[in-house]
Amino acid sequence: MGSPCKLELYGPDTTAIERAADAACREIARLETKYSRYREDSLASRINRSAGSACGIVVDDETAALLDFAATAHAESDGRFDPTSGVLRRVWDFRSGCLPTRDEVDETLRLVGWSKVRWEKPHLTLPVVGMQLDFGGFVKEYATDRVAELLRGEGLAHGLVDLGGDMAVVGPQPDGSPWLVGVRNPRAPEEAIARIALHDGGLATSGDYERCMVVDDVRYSHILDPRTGWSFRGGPACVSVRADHCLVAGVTSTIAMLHEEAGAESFLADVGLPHLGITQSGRLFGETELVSEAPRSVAAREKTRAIGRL
Amino acid sequence: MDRRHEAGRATVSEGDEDRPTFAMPRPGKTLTALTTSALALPGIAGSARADAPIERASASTSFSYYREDDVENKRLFSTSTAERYEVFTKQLRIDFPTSERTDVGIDYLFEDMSGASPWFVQQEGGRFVQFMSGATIEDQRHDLNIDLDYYMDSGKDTVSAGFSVEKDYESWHFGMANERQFNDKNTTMNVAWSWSFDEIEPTDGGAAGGFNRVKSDHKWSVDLFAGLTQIVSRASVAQVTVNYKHSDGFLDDPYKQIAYIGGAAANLPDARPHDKDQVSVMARYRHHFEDVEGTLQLDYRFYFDSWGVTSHTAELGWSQTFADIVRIAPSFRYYSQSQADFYEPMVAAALTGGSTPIERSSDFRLSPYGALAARLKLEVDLEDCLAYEVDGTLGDYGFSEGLDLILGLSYERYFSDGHLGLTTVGEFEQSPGLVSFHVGAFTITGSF
Amino acid sequence: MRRRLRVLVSLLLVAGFLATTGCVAVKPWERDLLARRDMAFEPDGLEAKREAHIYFSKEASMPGGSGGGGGCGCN
Repeated sequence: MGSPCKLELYGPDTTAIERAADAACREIARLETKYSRYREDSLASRINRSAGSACGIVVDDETAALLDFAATAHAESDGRFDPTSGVLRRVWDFRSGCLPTRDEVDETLRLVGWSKVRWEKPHLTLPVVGMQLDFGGFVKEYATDRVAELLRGEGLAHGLVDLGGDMAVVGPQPDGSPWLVGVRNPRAPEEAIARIALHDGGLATSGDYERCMVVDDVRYSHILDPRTGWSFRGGPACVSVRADHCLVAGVTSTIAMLHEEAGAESFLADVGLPHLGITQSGRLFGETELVSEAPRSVAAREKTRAIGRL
Repeated sequence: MDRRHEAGRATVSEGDEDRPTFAMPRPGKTLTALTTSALALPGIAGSARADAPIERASASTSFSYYREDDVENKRLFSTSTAERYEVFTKQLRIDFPTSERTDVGIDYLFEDMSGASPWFVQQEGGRFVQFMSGATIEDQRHDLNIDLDYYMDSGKDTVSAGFSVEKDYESWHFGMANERQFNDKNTTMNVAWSWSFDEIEPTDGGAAGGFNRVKSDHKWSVDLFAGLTQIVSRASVAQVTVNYKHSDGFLDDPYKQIAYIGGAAANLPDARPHDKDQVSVMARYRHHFEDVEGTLQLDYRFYFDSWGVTSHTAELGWSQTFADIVRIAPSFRYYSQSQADFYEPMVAAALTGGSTPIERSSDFRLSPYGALAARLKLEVDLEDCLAYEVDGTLGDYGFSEGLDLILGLSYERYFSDGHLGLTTVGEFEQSPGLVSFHVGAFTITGSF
Repeated sequence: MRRRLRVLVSLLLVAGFLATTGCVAVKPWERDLLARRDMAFEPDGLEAKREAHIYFSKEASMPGGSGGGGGCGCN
């Protein structure tokens, strides 16, 4: 999946846990094989190779459902969420420290746009050669939900799935208390700026702390706006969203990051999911009820026992 | 992929924590669309979560030694033994869940007592002095209590019953309690009632005993309790409780007498009213200071009863934690009580009319005095000190695969004196039978 | 007894008032400190029972704890 994956599991005995963890790993490997753009034999690569051909490609039920989901997200976000925006990666090289030229971006933008894709279940056609479908923007969150469900199916009642920061709860901690997860401070990733309690459901975080470029004293984050092809400026530093499914939380946080700070706040308020956002200046917004200030480092899992009896 | 898992850990708890309550009027169009779409995906719609036991089996055992100071020479009748009481106590408590919402607690106590106790007060050398019971008393007490708890989403109901038996005394009790939580579990209300029936058959009782002691008698009591616990902040909590008890029947102490000043006639037996109403009100507060890792503990109790006794108790403690593992807690307790209406060390001889007070007692426990106690407690937390395999059935009974132990050691020194009370009692007036003692105890608590 | 009842009622009203003013609603995930053993009112049931029994046997007052429990011959 390209990022550290962690499972915290509690169960009646080691054998059950081993078995469940094995099943979880197999599922993650399956999804990686299927949807990774880095693997030549993946379905994603086959889809991308079919770009430009008139007959397109027939996809299976799982992929069809994922495409339907992506289509919904695209529609609900006025185009901010776009699974075809992956090609922009080619002109934006954050390691080089060089900005792409206007022409390069415009040229690549021809290949971007979900509205250009013909999706008539189960037929998918990418009309222009070079167009690509990037599942990376949501398959990790989907995998998180799948693994959590799978673990529940294996009989585990307590656990937390953490695939590179996308989390889904299998069940609360054994004493019934929620899992406490730290939200990294975008400007100091070793510290937690807040703690979120997860009793059930999923949590996804989008932030600009990973890759960025500073050119002529201007900071360009890796968050690219599919509508302009350009690095999006003016958005929040990071957004964490809680939903029943990590997948829904994930696209919501991704979409929120592509809004100006004020717009992000109202978008998240409209969606109505519990969320926490941090502006570029470090101000917290959203459900500050969701958090408590965490003085210690990220990934502190603390037991919260109930108060003793009289 | 970095895979890590731990088998079967669990911690003691009381109930489910609520999820954050976020008022969502109705999901917006966007959320509905996304959720519907997500639910169409294979294998991610959440199924009913497997229910898991929330309690963990635990057991606790304790050994303690209690010893009273000998009666001081100046307060002891010349021919009496000075030695007082000595008690060895062994306790055992077991708690385990019996189903998803119920658990059982069994509490057993065994006491081995020996020594002498105050009998009556005499005059010697112009002072009141204590005469102790002659032969050394030796007795053993067994005390058993069983609780059944039933947990609901915001509270629990408890039914309890038990008994206490010793050579000359038997007590049976039964009660119910109810706990409810409000305000996102920030406020807890507790109410409880219990009823008990006691039967006493004093040694050497009846006419044959030669002590003019009752042969056998009984009493019953009803106890009502209400308490409110309120979380004040993230680091502090307060509690207020009220307790009322009504007792009816034989309330005298058959082993005590009251002597006539001047010895004009034989000692009178201890005689107390046939009923008693008691009220106890407590206010308690705990505050944790995060930066120093210490907790302040304050307790105050106000008590009064229909026998005329009023008392104040104040406790101040500080618990200091070291390295999350060791806790050292010194504390102080101050106590002051007034006398019972019918308390008298001795009875003045009837001068005219031959009237003897109907109710009378020379018991030091009904006399006016104050007491100071200092305690020191040491606790060591050994979490996960032992790992073992546990099969499914035991898992259902709250057994997890690691043992958590808490070791505790405590010592208390208690000292009482007439001068310590809120109303000073003169040398001449204070009961010569006031007691001072040491208690040392060792406890092991384990969660399995 | 009547006068003491009045004192009692006023004490309770004051305590109740104090308890509710200035109280912050603490969320379940913020209860880590409150769950500490030294923050409990009776963390060690055995010790509480033993202590209450000693004071009950040697003083005139009632323990005032959670009620219930039987008596013993120690008066």
